[in-house]
Amino acid sequence: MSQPRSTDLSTGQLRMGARSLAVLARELAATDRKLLVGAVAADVVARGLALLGAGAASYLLALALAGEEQDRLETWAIVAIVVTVPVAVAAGLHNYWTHVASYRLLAELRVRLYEQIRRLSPAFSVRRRSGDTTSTAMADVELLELFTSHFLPPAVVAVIVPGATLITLAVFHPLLALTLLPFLLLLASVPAWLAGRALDDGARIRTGAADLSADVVDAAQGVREIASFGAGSWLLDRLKTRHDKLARATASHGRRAGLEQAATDVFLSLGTVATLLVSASLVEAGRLDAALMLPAVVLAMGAFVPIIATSRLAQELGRITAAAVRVRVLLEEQPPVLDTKEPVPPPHEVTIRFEDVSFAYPADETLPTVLDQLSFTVPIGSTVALVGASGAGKTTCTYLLLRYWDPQGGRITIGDVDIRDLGQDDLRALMAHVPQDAHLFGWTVRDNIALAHPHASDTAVRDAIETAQADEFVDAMPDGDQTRLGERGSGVSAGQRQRLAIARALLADRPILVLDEAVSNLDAESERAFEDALAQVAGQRTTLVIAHRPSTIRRADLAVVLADGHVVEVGPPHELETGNGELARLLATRNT
Amino acid sequence: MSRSDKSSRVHRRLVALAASEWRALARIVVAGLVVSGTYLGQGVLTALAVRRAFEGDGVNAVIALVAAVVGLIGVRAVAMVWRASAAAEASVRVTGSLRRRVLAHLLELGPAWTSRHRSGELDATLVEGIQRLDDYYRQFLAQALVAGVAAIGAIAVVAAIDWRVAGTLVVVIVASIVLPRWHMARLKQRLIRVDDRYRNLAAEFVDAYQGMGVLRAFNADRRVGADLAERADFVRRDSIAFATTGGFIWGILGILTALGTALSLVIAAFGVSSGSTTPVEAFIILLLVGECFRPVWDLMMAYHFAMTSMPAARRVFAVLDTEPEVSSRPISTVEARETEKGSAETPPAVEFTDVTFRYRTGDRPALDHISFRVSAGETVAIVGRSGSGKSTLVNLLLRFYDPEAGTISIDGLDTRTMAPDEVREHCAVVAQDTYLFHGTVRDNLRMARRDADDGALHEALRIASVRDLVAGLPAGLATIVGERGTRLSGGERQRLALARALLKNAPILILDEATSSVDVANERAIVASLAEITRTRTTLVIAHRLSTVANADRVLVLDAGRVIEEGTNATLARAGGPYQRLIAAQEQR
Repeated sequence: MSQPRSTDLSTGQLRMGARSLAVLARELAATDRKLLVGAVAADVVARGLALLGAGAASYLLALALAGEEQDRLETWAIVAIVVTVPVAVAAGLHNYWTHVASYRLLAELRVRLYEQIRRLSPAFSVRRRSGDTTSTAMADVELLELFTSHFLPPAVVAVIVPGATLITLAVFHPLLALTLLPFLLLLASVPAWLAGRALDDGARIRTGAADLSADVVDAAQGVREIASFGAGSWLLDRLKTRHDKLARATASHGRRAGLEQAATDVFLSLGTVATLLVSASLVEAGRLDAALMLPAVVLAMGAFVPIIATSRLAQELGRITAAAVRVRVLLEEQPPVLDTKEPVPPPHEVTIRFEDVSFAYPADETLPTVLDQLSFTVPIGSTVALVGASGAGKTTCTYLLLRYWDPQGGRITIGDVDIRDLGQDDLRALMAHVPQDAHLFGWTVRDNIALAHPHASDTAVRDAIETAQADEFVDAMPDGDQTRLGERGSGVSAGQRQRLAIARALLADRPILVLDEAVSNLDAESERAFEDALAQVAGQRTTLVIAHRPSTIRRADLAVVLADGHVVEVGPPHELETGNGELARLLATRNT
Repeated sequence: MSRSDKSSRVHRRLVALAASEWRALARIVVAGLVVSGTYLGQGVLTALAVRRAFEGDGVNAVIALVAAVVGLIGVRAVAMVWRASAAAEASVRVTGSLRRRVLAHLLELGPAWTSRHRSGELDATLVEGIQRLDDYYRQFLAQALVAGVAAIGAIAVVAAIDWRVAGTLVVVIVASIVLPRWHMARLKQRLIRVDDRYRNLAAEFVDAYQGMGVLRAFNADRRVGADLAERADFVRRDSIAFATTGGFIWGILGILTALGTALSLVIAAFGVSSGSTTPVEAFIILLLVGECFRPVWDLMMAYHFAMTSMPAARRVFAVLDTEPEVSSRPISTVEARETEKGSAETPPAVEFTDVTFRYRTGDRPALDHISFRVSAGETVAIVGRSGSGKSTLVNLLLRFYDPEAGTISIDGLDTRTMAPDEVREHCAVVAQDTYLFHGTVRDNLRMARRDADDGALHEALRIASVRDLVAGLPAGLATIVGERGTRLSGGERQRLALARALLKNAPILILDEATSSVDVANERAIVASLAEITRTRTTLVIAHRLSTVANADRVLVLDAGRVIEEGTNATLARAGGPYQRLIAAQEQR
């Protein structure tokens, strides 16, 4: 979901923006200090030599006007021409070194963002949309390159070079430096004038683009529904609102950039004219050598160049800051579950116990399910079915067991070890999970199945495929298990998807199996074959199964019936089913 | 996508898109000419002022000229602001209509296309890609339109003073435009590489993010992270290569500008020394040399922006140029249309005649000479194992694809003579993979019927046995369901999807495993309330569970894209064929 936005920026947001940029600058400095110092030095050399060349050429002209002899002219002519070569070399080095450092930082940031998203997920994905998050990792990070290679190093140079120019002018005559200084300061201050609006435009552009991204990803993935409902205009209207917001911000940004460009140009031009006037009157008063007048004007104009280079980028500072903030906010988000400092070794005995577990999703996640002092046990080697109406909290139990979230009260143990005392990887290595909506990646069938064991043998993969009743359709695919699936497994039916997810879980071969409506889209024959096959291996496994289908529930050793976050019934399914309780009602074996 | 597409053609198309904004473009050109003219005037007037100062005319003589220069500076500032606002507005309108066009076309391409493309890549094209075109319109077009005139104007003034200097400048400027061309091809190549890698990383990122739950559950999250890091590193390497090549081109331009300036001044100095150039002329040269190069730099800068938006432009056009799998231009004739009738009360009949179809990836036909008819108002159940072709029937009926051979008709009218939208208007579908959009429950329902009031929504929710659930949500109908409906369980999503289909109130109802994740009690309630609905509709029920089949008038059993058994539930159940075996498998349990 989008971040809150407002048209007037609070000081908090400004501070966050400044802090994000400062951290970014520090991070850039940390990539390779030597490289960056070299880059800045190369730029100083390039700009200094360029000024020297321009100064030499104008001095040459002044000497000619003063009627100097050809010999002296030649020396300065050679200086003016020869100096151009090292200017280009130094500029090239500057360009190369800054980009090396910048792109290294960008790659690092993307890796860190993935790492962070990894720690935040999947709890995070409930409230942040994929298009939104991806646009932070991709577009926002990419935008930072403007700051790290085109703003920050030139900004340093924009202080050094005009400083040196001012000193040179002061040597000519102090009044020249005093004349130029206010214009340089004014020029440098331009980006600050409309900083508030710049930040606001920037924030609106970045969130606008991210919101639009999220909707585009949504539309692309739901195109089938849109087409079959003839809801094209519904979608276009929806996206139009998003686009219009982005467009308004973009246009406002463009107009503001134009205003800044004009202001920059005004100060540059006025500064040049002022220097000209002052130097002319100094010459007239006999306080400045006439030959120095032209170099003075040329140097004054040159002093603006690095500042202008920076202020061109400063026009983008609003967008850049917004992107930096989005990256920073994501990196600083607190994960919902934290690894214990000293994890205990994973247990060998895997009886699962929910002990007085209470849980509600954090308020901003608006998920209604609440567990209220829930207790049940899945004895080792047994199959327990969690049963209950929609919203009873069945899937939430599996999320807590996998530690996607931690309960607020009570605890969950495996082999008498509180799962919070285990390392997260160790905990998950105990379980194979088939979720309700198994995600398939745009990889080959085999890679999708061999998720837990990428180097599994062909026989092992084959066994898993057969046990999951997936062999028939996998074999019918153009390249068998080497066939590449579409995004989110498009082109694969719901039933086939479930079989692949089951094969994936079987291949993982873990002591605990968690099946969340894993066979709902299987036909009766396949389901039976799968469950028969599973029965052969289930003896060694502890299985928690969520199901609404009587056939699946009846196969369990125990049924735990949930209603409104409580356990209302526990017992062997065939006993409960014939009784007068909740399970009987749910399976509709009892007439109501 | 065809990369062979000439840049010039892409430019032409981009400019053509902006044609409707010709007023703004005219403003941009006029403002640009004013900006360039003031620079020139400023140079000339400043030179005159310097000359007067040199000749000792006193500061007073200079003041008038300086005032004129300041005036020009003011005019230029106004022109710049004016130009920027015209460019910003034109750009926003052009990119806006482009985005709408691409989206509309995307819908026409439909699931047949999107299933072969990754949404992360599409997003990179449609959002950031088109956003990049903003640079094209705002920066490039504005500069490109006047740069030539500005450069020629400045050189002309210099030529009037000293043809040697002007000649030198022409040679250097031409060289600074021509020399980088050697490198341009490589630069473009590298840009395309960066762009490819970038979109690839974006697509993988979306995939990993959406599948993070699974990745973590199987401890594959770090491995995928390492893979992404490697891809991010490719982006880094290629970006540096691109920036370095780009830097080289800027280097050439820089060296030539410095050289051209130095040479001009040296020529002027020696001219002054030999007496062939007057001091005023020398000043003018000094001040105008920069003006000769300014347009070249502006243009290069703009070109740089334009080039980086080229891959995006190409991709946008590639989408626009893709022909839909099914033609949206009906081939119907008036006569054909006249056979279409059907009163409002009678739902249409649906007929498949000898239909064969194969997906792009499959060599085995998904449907193999299949024929059957669903009469008006009839409910037909289609059963069969996964992969027998059940869902393909739906894809073809909805014209997401057209058959390879054979015809599909609605009320005797070949669906290919109707626009896809028109066909779909007749049908309400609950797809196997229900998809809910990020938004409220109400939004998701209303996509089926935009003018539906809450009363109609509640009625649909009631029939789908989901009214109580919605009432219990934190904000009722206004509750946001999350991306792809993640805040709801599978069964809840299916029931909402069913409500959405019912709301559409179309004469043909298609239920593709519509209740597979719904619990028994709710399924029973749904089956009971649907019985009434289906009486006034032509209904196709696809199921692997037989509970939903019981009410069907007729059952078709599919295998390998063919109908292998057909009859009423009662007769087939005793026929000793495949259907009886399916029932047996289920009842045993």
